[in-house]
Amino acid sequence: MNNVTFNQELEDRFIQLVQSSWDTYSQFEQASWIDDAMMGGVIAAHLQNGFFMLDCISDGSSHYARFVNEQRDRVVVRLMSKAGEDIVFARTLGNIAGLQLSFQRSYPDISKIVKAMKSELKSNLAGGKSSDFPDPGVFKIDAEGTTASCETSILVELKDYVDAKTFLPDTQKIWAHCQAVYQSLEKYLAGVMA
Amino acid sequence: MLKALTSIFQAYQEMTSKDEIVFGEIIRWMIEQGWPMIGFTAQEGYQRARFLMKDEVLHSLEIILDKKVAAISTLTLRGQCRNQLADPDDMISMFKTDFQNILKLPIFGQMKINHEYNSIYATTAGVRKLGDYMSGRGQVNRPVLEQDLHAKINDVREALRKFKR
Repeated sequence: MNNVTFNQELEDRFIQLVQSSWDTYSQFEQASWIDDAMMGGVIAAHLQNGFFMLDCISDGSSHYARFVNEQRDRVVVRLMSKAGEDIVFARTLGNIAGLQLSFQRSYPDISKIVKAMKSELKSNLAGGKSSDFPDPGVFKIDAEGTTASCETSILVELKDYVDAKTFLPDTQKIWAHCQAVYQSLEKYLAGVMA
Repeated sequence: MLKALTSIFQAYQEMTSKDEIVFGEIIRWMIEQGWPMIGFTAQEGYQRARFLMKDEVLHSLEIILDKKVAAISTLTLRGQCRNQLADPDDMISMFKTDFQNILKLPIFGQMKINHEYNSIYATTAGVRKLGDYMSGRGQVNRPVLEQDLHAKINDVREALRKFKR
């Protein structure tokens, strides 16, 4: 037998230390949840508005999803939140994430495809990437097969879209903001391809 | 001609994306139930999402859809019951249960319980033909999917209920 003298006061102190550690642990854990909650909201918002998910790729912090609707219009969402998952970054700058949205349309016409390819070359010269996020608001044209797409990026504060306590996303707000971006993308793409 | 080929190509893409279509619906349904997504990883043919449940038993629930052959997939649900242990007496008792579980083997289609000190996991998996969840182009037969998920979540919750402190 060892000579440990049991002291209830010390055990109670230990329990308190572990309990307070759990509170701190939760803060770190929850900092990594918010981007996933936002991505869930993005997916739900699109499905609630007539789209279905065609593709999704995610490494846990950079998320990509492609959606299509009945009219075969396709949209792509990329959510990049690597920096926003860091609790220090989140507490100083906020839960900032880069949201890249793209509107795609099929142009089964050779002359249109050539036009899209020319626009893609020009697009590659526009805008850049400073810090961890692409320049916001720059329209870029991309051509892939008979599909032309127009994409742009914005920066979002995830707490504007996700409840900080329940982690439930505001899908109506997410959709309203995505819709605003898609409208401008569609308008620009139609103008370029006209 | 180009238009017809484009149309065929798009239809083919939609046909091969059944798992993504179904998984999107799973995410939508879970969020509409008030269970936000707090973890997400995906690659071609494999999607995994974790949802915050925060009910009387479950802390979180992981849903994994893994496409095997054609539209045959495995649907795995893994519930987490978290007890934030702080009392050494509880830890000693959990260690004993952990030790007993070492000899348990996962049996496909049945519930597997796994203790990891502060968390107890219940996992169930089953083979699904994704076509059974579909009801047209991009349309998911939501009542069938929701009923299936609801039943499985209940099974996982009940399997963990006795471990919740």
